Amino acid sequence: MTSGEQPKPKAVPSDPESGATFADTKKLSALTNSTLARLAQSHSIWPMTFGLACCAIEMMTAASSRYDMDRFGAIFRATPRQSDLMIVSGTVTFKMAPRLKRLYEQMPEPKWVISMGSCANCGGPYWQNGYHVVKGVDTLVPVDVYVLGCPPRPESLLDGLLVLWERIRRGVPHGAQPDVVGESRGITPLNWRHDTINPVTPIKVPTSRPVRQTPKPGDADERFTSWGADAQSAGEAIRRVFGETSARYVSQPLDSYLEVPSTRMYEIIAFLRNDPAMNFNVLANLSGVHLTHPDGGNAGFNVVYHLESWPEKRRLVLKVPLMPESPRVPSITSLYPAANWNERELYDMFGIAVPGHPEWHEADPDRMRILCAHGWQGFPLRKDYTWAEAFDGVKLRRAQADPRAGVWVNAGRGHEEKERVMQEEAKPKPKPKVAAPVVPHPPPPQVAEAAETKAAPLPAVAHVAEPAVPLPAVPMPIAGAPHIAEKEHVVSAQIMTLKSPSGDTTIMVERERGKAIHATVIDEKPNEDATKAAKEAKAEETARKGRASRRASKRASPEKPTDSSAEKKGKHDEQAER
Amino acid sequence: MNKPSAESQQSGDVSLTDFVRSTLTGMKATLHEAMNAEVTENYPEQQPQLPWGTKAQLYVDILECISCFKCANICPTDCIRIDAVRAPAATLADSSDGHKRMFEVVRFDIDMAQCCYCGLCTGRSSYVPADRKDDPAALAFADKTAVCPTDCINFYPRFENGTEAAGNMLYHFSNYSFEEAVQRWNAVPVNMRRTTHAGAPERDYVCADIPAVDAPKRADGDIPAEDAKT
Repeated sequence: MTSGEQPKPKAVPSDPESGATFADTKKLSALTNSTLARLAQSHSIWPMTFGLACCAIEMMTAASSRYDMDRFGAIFRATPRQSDLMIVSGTVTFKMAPRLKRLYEQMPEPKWVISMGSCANCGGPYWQNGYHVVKGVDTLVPVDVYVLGCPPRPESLLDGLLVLWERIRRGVPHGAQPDVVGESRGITPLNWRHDTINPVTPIKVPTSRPVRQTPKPGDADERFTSWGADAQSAGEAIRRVFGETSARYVSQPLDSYLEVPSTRMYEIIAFLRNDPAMNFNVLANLSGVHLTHPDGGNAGFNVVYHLESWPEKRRLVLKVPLMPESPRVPSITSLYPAANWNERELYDMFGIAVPGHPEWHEADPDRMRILCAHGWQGFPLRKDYTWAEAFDGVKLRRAQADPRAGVWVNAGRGHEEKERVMQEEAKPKPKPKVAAPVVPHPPPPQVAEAAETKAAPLPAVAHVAEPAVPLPAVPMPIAGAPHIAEKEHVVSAQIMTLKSPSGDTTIMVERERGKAIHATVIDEKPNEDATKAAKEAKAEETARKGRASRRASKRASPEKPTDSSAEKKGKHDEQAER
Repeated sequence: MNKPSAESQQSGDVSLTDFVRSTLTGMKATLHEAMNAEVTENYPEQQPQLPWGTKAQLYVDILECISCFKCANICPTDCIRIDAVRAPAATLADSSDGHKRMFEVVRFDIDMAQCCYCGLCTGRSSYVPADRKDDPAALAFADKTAVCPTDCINFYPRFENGTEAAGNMLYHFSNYSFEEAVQRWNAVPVNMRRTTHAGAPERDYVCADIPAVDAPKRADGDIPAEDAKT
């Protein structure tokens, strides 16, 4: 599938004149490349204790007593300097990428890398919309073995280890992609069903498992009644102290809230915290919202504070509206220490300046970054956020689609050469006068042009036995085919086939959102509803004749009926009569 | 259990009694572990028994696929790519329940590297254990949840899927090779093609580097507003 192969790691010559590598000068090549050495290496792979995400849980399980990775000589080491193998188990974020690379560089040669799970393989669930995830760890470090799963079972990781064993014994250099991609393992020549392959082992559910009690009516509401949203009374108190324009009460079904101006916000929250009648002693949450106009324009920000009073059992939601340009809000970390990382996220995600925060410096606001890496461009939760092309030398996007001929081709993961080729091919070119022949799979050139110029003849492929015979498309609106009975229960289907009541005509209807948009006659026989009754009568007549002839054949020699279908129908009728 | 005696604590030495007692205690634990059944699966010598419903790998029974695109539409990571063309009447094939398959699936690729193994695309077999195949309650539950109408795409308990080549993570399930698929695809008029690209415009594979493909237009020119975005 993938023709792009990663560049093989170059040996750095220690002696530039002779070009001898380190291994050559030390006369080590014969020893390290011997079969015995490879056998020893494969039997004592020491992985690094290095987990990134949920795949690491399965990696730890693989080391547990049920799977016991130690049987393979794989003993986890707590430092890269004693490790041979890095199991990249989980999501590699761009913030993690430099650390991962540095850990990899600290490992001594010879070393290997297993990419475990979908995220490490290609970005996984984040391959499309994850602005923060490296699209495959093979863009960072050379990968030897990919293990599939999300996350893979421990058995799969052990299988990956065995694949690595074979690879080491074959003497494949680290990170080299095979020239020929192996068998397409998806085509399993099995008529597979669960019960044929995997005998079912029923899982025993312990009877002593505690059953969760279903909440009684009233239980769920109790929290709301006792912790009622007292925004209205709090708003009155604030207005009494700070003036009529200091707070605006907004009623909502679930959580009514107060709008307070950002200029008075700090003293209002200090009042709510310190006043013994208010006594809001807990900051439950601090978050931001980016608002947009319906046409997509920037409409400013909201900073939302959720305050709770545990002694008084009250809750209050404050919203601070901010202008779109250079939004600023004073820090409340001095009032609530819990606001520290919340406000750093506020800057990190929305770009809202928080003066007064311990990490806030007007000259260097990048010090507030907490989730994104330092030096990150833009604020990801803003609605107008666009991805950068690259960050810290790692490309953020990856070509995934091939625009040729509408046939989607896997772009491969981490093969920059292939991406470059595809981008070049995607550029507009002068149309060729003669369509280029279709070459074997990975780069099919100029198929798009061939599709555009339909007249261009395609080269025949020898092993396609049957030439394509396109049916004539008969566009037929539903209104023009009154004899078609629509069925309501297949409304959601995109394509459905309908039969006329007589069963003679079959049409294929394409529907989108419950509305038929296109219909094509698939199978039409000349007989219509009107002729059906006559046909039945005729069949009945032939059946009667057949019966009569069979009665006659009991006495005389058997005679063959001319119409076999009528004979069948006659038999059927006979059975029905009996 | 084997606390050192008062004298040995005072003197700091270990008495002979403590030595013998602690040795016996240790040997008892060793014997206990040696006699008990071991819990380790001796993979690869012994094939592990995976539990029912193991999400190890997707498998598509391509002869049952009617290219309804439900799996590709529901896939949260868009890892299923299907190209199908209308089959000529002469080649309409029967599926196992007797229905004609109106489309030929020239390409059914699943990128197992992008798959998040949620199982939303799967059919009834993934929801009903084999011993409950006759249970109407289980079947009713499965029909509510399962997406694939012909039960052709399901999980297959094959966990030995480690590979050295990144391209091997793209699984092909069609009976057509790539050249055959391209030839077949180009041989039919545009209104007889269906792809994941055109059938699901809202789940388009948008790519920044490469301009998007023009969706195949219908021959009658009657393109609804949702489709006319290209």
